[in-house]
Amino acid sequence: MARAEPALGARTPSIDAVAAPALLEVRALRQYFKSAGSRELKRAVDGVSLTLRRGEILGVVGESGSGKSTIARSVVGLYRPTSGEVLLDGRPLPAGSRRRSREQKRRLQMVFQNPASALNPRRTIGQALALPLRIHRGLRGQAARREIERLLGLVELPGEFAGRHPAALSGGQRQRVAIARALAAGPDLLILDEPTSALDVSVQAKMIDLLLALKTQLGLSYLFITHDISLVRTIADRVVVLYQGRVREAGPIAEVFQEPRHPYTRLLISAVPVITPEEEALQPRIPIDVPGNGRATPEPDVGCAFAPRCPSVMERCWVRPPPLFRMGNVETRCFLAEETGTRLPEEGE
Amino acid sequence: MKNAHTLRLHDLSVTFKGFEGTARVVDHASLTVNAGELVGVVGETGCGKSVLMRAVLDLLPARTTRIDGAVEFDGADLRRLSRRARRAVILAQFNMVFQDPVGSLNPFFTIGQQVREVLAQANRRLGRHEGGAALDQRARALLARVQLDDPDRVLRAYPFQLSGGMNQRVSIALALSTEPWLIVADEPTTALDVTVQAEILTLFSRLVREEERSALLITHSMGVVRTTADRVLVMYAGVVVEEAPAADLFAAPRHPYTVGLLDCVPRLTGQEMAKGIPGTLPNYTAAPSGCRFHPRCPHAMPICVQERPPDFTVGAGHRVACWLYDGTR
Repeated sequence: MARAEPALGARTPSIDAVAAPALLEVRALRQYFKSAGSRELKRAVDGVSLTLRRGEILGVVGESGSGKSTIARSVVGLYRPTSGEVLLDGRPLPAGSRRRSREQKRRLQMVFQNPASALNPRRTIGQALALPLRIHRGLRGQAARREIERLLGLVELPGEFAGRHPAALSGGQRQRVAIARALAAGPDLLILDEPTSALDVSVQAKMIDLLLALKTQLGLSYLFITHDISLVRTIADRVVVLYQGRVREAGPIAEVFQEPRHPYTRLLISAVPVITPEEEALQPRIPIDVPGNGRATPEPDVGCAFAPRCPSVMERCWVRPPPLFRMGNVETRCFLAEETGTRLPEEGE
Repeated sequence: MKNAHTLRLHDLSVTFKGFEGTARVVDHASLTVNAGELVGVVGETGCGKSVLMRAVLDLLPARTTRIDGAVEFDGADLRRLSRRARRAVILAQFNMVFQDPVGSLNPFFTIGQQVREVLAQANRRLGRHEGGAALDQRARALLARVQLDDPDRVLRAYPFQLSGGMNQRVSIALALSTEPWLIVADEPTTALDVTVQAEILTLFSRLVREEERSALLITHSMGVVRTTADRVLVMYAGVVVEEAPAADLFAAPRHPYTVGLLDCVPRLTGQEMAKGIPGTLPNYTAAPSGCRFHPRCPHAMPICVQERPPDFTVGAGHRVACWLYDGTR
């Protein structure tokens, strides 16, 4: 169905994935929460659209409170969105996992950040893996046991781990189990919410290597959520930069990092503590101490949420929310692109 | 320099007596912090970096911990002093900043109450008397030093009403309140967003340099030590495996562990990462013989299994505990 929606990528063909069809689309997703002790709604996600093509890794980056985990949870149906829709293979998914069919749930699996709390401490690894095998694939008994061994092998853990409890495993091993459990259902798409943030870099490197190998081996696609700018640069095909519930910049990974358009993206890249001069050369020079100009963050409908921290802030940023502009393959929600970019229609406008 | 002190850890070992046996979690570590220096200690989870810091600050449980070696402050071994005398030196000369800025502040008291309490405590210790108005004045001045824009609002606020970055600025202010010679910061920016981390690190190193203090920065982040520290020590399994001026360490890392670790750090260039370091951190109750890294080392030789490598000097201020650099072999 052809709609004038600002789904990223629908209009921004990247070199590697021009032909690849959209696997997951998020359209104008809004997720508002009641906040304690206040009548005001917290706009955790405020009109986010994105497209993930089959076979790609779409990175979603942003700082705490940007809405990245909320998007993940809405996509898998842990939340019912305030508005907007999630489409899988072009077909809308019902809001909330309860209304989704088993088949729809099977195709979309999630791996959480903290593997310690994502696994039931009283169940063995085998029991944790048996459940999705029974529910999604009807496997029991000997067949299930064989499949558990195969799944553990896929994540490079020995078969005897099936009898162990999570407490007996290291953080990295638990995260492998969490990945195996997500794979048990036989998904097409993994939503990875900070899957390596709790791990040391040497363990993270192994986990990333495993995830990339599994992606090729099983033909998976990943929605990869992280706060680590360098990690997203290293593994993602395209990236979406979030700030306070809205997409600020999105595009093919190399282009966004070569020439970040949005001042927030520039700030993020400039703030990474890097380890080589080659990386320093890529970092925009921005005074880290942005002089707080003392003005409060404007309401989302009034101005740009980044204005109080923006080194390039202009008067219009305080009185109008910036729309999305397209510049080449990149989209940016910033008035700096007003002259050179093409304005994109906003869904719901 | 107004504060010409030196802290020197000499062959410091920390052994925990536990249920599963004894574990030497810091193994013959040596470290020097000179006046005006910002020294970084970097390593992964369980490498002993926090234990090392706790040994310096005398925060380890005496009953289950055995400490060998010396913690020298201006040449005097703090470990030989009475507990009381040792604490007096530590309180007067050292202070620290913790990882979790919200958790290290008391949620039931306003920032103002907490800052004033710390200042009043220092006064009691020094037998000094100061009125409430003077305390308030000093509290405001402290917050201004850590660039909190509206000190009065912050003083009235509870920790939960402030952002993580603001709470960490308050923690730094509290650490400054005793005017310490040395600030020990244990993962001070790990809980913070990257842009806030950059602000806090800039503030921290500026304060240390401008106020001519010294600092010991403990972190797991290679990027953080590179951008902040003058000199870096790399720890693995309780051992200081390499020490160098920050610029030299990153330009020419020598220890196979340092090299392996750096290769695992994702790069802004997008360059492919290494596939990790094979194996896992050893069990401390049955630590490997010889070099503790040998079971995971791509260059392991027979001697690495038999004998613990001493420090070899490979450049100015650059030492590495690895047999590969034994010039006599």
